[in-house]
Amino acid sequence: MDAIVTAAILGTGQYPVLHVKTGTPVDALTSQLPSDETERTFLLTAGAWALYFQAGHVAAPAPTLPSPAPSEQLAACSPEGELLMESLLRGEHGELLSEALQRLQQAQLRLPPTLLPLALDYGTRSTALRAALFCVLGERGRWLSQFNKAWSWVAQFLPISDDDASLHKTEPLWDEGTLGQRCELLLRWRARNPALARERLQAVWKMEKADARTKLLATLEHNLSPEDEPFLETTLDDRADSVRTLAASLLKRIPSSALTQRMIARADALLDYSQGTLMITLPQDLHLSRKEKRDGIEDSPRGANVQAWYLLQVLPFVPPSHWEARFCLSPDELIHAAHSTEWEDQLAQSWLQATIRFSAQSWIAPLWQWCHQHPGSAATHQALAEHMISQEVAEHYVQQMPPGTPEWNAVLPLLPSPWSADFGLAYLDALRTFVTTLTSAAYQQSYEWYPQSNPWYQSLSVAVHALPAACFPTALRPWTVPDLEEDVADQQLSTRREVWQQELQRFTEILHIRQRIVKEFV
Amino acid sequence: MFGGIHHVGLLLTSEQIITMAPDTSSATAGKKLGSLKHWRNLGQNSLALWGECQGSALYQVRVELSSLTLHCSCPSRKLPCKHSLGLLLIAATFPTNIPVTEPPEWVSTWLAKRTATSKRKEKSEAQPASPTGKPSAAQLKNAEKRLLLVQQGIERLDLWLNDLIRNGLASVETKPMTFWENQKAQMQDAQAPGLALRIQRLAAIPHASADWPAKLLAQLGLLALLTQAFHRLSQLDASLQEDVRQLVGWTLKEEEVAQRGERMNDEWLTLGQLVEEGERGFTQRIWLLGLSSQRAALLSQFALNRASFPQLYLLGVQQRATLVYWPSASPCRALLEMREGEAVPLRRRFAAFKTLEDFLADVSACLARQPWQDRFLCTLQDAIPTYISDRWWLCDRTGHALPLGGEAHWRLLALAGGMPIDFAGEWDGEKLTPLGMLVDERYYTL
Repeated sequence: MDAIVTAAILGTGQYPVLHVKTGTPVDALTSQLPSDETERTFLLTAGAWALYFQAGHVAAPAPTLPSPAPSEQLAACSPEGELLMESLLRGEHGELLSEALQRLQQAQLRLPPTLLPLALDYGTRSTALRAALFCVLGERGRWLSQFNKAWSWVAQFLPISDDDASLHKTEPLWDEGTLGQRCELLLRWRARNPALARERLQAVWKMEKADARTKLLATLEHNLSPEDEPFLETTLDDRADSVRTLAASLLKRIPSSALTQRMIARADALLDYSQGTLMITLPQDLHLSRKEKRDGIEDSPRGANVQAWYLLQVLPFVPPSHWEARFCLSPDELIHAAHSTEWEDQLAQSWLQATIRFSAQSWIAPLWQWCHQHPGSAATHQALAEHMISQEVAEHYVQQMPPGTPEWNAVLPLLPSPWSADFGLAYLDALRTFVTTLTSAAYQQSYEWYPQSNPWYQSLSVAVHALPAACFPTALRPWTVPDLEEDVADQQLSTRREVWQQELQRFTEILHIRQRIVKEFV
Repeated sequence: MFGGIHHVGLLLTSEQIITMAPDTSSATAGKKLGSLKHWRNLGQNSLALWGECQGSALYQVRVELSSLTLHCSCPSRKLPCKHSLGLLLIAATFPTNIPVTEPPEWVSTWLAKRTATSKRKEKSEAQPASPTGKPSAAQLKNAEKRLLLVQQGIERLDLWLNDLIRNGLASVETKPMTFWENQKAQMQDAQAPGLALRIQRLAAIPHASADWPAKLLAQLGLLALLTQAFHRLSQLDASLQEDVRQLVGWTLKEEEVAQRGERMNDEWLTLGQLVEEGERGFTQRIWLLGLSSQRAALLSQFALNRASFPQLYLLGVQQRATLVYWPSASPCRALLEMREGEAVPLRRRFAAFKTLEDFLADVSACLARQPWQDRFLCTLQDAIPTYISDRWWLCDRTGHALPLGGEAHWRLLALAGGMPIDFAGEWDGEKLTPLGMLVDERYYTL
């Protein structure tokens, strides 16, 4: 500390200092100040000293600079697109962000630098959108993320493109990359050379932590084949619970695996067929042996029907073709036979899951036929949700249902999105017809017309995201809820009308924004 | 491609209009009103732009183009209100939807009133104002009275300062707030508000940082220099006298500034703004740079809350205008007297210092002229902002750096990307506060 500061702290009364020396050229001036005014002279000297250092401020040497961001490979979106992305990233109509990001990526565009901090913060908060955000960050965004710990999620993604040439140079990444990057690498290798990917995984298996083992093993899901069975069998006894469960579920997808054979054996004990009837014998109590648990069968939850539970734990893991072979029946006949048992629903569900798991093409049509006859069943909803049938078939099925009913509203969200143009137009048509029926008499008639519980009202929030771009012009034609009749002054009725109007307005607004998204990112 | 208002007066993009919003809720609301369905009777001519907006009632919005004066009939105190923003956005995104027509009565009346007021102002400026012509006897007496009060106040202040330094700064550590506040009140009573403000700032120094004794000593020293200068006022240069008087607390009215100050007509670049919260309200500082003269200028205004500063300034634009500086040995603060021509978005590289050494040498020169100046406009070419070991720096091309104040300059870092850019910021002797930057022919305010 400078002598003058020490003197000041102690005070000139304690430590009378005449003409305190600052050790600077200022002393030549201050020595001319009067000697009899100790304090004043001291203060003036301090002033001159302060000024000397202020005026003489020198910039510090700069720290070593990190390398600048690499030049961009993608083009930035337009200024209008920038405004649009900014409002989406700030949370306005945030549910459209996913669609916008997808379109940006498809158009091979990136976010402009000014929006990067916003986008990176968004990814920190929302794990679901991280992959989509990563694709549009560009070189600058990836470079920027290194400076802030909160943005470390970016490092989990693989910054190289998915072609053969670059994949060959990935040794260092496999050895030293983040877990996310290594999983992505494995996935890409798996797509090209499944055996190689598996061998690489085997090579490092013992050295990985439990969490890493689970995530890396999960990549074997792609291009799964009987060749993977030996390795998977060894992982069935892994120390970590999550790894064991994952290994079991993977083995259950290989029809020829030992595990599946064991499942088939268990199923054979349950199902039998003779003289035209299907007989099902289910255990009364569930005491799972260690072997059963190892094979991935779980204890039933409390309150669940033990027998139904067991059926659903075993049957879905049997390839449907097995039943065709054993009982010499066609899928149609088997399904028909299930009808007379007390477990028809569970059988249908199980076979449905098995069909999806083992891609049993010949079962799809008959099972779907069964679904037609049992519209509200869990199996039907699962068939739709898992996209077991083509979009066309699914939409056709839904179109057969009377619109505006709760059942129709239950399956609408299960359809693949975006809808086909035809389906969208049909929906809009029916919606318009419905809106014209919103008269005061209708509001009064039944509880159904209470807006938020009305299936049409609920369908709007599904439709607004599922309608394809081709339907926008039709959807954006003005929606007007009919005015209440002159003599009707009921507050409740006009409130209901208000609610409808607001929802339709919101519907239109969101479609406008979607239209802008389609227009800007092309 | 870039939406713009294409006619005499303004060339603004939607992005710039959004930055004019006083807060984010206004920005959102303004954007919502930026669609044609809310507007009726839109029109424009060479002087103005207008329209009627259907909100909760029908509001009339008028824009005078040459000065970008906005007027809306809504009751909101915010400037610009959401309706004004909406109209500007309409003009930027749907220019062809605004026909060139005769203005309706409510627009032409407003325009006529504005020309009348500005003519009145010019007239009063042309006439010699009474203060410097023939001050009345009463005014002279008041001036004398004030001078006496200030002198007495300063004498007491000097004694107080002497006491302080005699007892030592260590004794200050334990002093209660009243120690400072009493002295501050005394200076206010002595009609020296500038000195009262300096004492208030002294009070904030103890324990605010590790090196507070040195800082406090420095400020006390500068305060002593100021009172010393006041004692010797007549021996100072006329321009420095003006500074000392203003620092003690005499203020000049805008008319006086217009008469006595230095006029500067140039293409002025608005580089950015800072808003500081004080005891009684908010102070806004806007820094300008003259393109040919390379002179810096500071526009300053005060408001009770953040969203209602009386005058609206566009940032990141270049416009020919006449400024008048407050009389000073190192002219800095100015007022905007007259604008001419269009406000154009700033795209070209502006004259800036090439190295930090050059800039700091300029700061020294300013301090040599006016030692109590505490804020400087820093413009630096080819600057690289960086963030290392939790500290923010601005580096110049010779390998020197100044610290950046504040935190989280992510947008600055993102826009620069580790490459050199042109930077504008405010230097206060310890840290740089970013104002804006030019990257790829586009100016971003920060």
